[in-house]
Amino acid sequence: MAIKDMQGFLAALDAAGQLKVIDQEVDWNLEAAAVGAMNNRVGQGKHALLFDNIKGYPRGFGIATSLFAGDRRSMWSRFALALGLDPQISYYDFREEYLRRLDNPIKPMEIAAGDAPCKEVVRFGKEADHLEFPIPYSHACDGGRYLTMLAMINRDPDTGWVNWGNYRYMIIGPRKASGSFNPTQHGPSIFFNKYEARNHAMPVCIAVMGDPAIFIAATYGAPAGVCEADIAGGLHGEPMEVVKAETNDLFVPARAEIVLEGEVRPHERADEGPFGEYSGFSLGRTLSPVFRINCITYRKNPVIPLVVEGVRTNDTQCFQSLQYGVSLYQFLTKKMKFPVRDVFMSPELGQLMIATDVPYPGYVQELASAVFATSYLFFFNWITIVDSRVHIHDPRDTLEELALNCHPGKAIHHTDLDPLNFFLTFNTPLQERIKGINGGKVAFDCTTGRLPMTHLPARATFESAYSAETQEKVAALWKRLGLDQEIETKPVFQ
Amino acid sequence: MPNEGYEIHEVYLVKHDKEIEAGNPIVCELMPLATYSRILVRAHVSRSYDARPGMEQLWVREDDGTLQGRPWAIHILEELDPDEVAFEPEARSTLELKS
Repeated sequence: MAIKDMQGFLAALDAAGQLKVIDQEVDWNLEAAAVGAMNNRVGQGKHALLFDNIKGYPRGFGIATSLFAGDRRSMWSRFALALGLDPQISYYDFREEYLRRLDNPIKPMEIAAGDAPCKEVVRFGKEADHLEFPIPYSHACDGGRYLTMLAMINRDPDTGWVNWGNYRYMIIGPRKASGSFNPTQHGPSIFFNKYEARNHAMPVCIAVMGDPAIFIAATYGAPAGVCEADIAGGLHGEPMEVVKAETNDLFVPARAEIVLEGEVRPHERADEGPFGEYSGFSLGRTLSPVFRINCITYRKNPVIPLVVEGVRTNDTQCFQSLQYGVSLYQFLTKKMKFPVRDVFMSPELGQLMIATDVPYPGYVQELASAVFATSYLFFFNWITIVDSRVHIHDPRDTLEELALNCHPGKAIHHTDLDPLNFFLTFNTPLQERIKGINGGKVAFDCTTGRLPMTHLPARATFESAYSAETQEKVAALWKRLGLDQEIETKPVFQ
Repeated sequence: MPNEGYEIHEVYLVKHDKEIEAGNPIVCELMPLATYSRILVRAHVSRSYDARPGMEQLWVREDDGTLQGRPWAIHILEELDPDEVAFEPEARSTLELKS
């Protein structure tokens, strides 16, 4: 049965032995996030955490974190679980199934308000108060308390396209908030280009968690014009249930933990940030548009999902790694028809690796140009392109290719024209990064396709230096030899 | 452990530097460190905190996220309704574009 909400996801995590429920009182003020940060660092993706006893709040009002944080060797495992797949599934089987579901969106289905768990409690006007919930204060450098796992829902007034996007949301007061409003992202661009340009207030809803597929869809990077609610339905193979908001015409996930309803007024700004971002650095204060909330609905005993940014390996890093790798793989192979075998973005600091055949001279530059022409160019500055046989999910293998095969004078392709990564490259002032000036991208060509075949020596790895029979014998002997470490073999890609 | 008192963005102290030096009250937005839910106040602000009665700690946050090591002092005269008293946020105090 499809997981439809936070409660279902927590139950599935628990059944898989991947949930720790923490009954001891924990403070929403830094403490919960600090525990989550250490869990991200040392937990190796073993457990998501549910804090069930938050200081100053009723029992049952909880915080859950490390929901999608995973060990590097199985970062997709929690995604698989959220989508009803075996968490032990291999990456390539998961990718194939994930791409299949992405290609088959299903429109959501409206249900009656009385059947919607997100409306178990309804608060209007002055009774609506952000502080009724244990929204965490996550870093000592932050400018406020943040929601980090949500869908901001807004509609293009001309086309009717509804966008669901995940953007951080900072509490300013009981009914006032601000957030990340990057104009290169779909939801904010609808506000800047349509509503504010026309001096109109924009109706908006903020849906906190609910179906984990919402978060997966909202961070996928769907093209403009595509509604992430449709993608979420496709991920589950059945329509997602939605319900009409109380105070505007938007539809919200019926099983969200909390729904905040309101508007964003034109030309109104407030201090937003600083915020300790996924890169491990504080992004600094900016002036951002203001959410004015006029209604809050929620289910009883809501659980706030928390992404503790900055300490690897956290949810965002796992998300970006998985989503960008799969999305770019899909773009390069399906749209561009490049002979790419795999694309991997490292969870640490957005380094992109591509494993590919090299069918003709100049192909690597063409491939790099295609990648930098996508909207993902805001999330990394350099890519490493290697032969198809390389296991790019292991950074040691990619570094080896960089050291052995990238000619320092001939194989580094640089461009000055593209904007730098918005979150990184701190030797460039923030204003330059925001404006996309003084930018640059670089591609390291580590492929051997440029070289005549006679230049390539035989490889001496475990997988190539020993026959399959010998490798099997070693695997069988290993434990009998009294060796404790787990044996590790790499997949062989031709 | 979290600090006590309030937090303010440095840019607002720069903006009201003359009034502060003259000992006049200023209108500013504060973040109480007990709730992190901002309030608009009229208050006296001074550069050093010495725990006098009525004075509370005012921590200063710079635009890049760093917190100044020592608190200022604040004495809140009244809390204001942000829907009735206009408060315009200040853009970043410097825009340095290095060539």
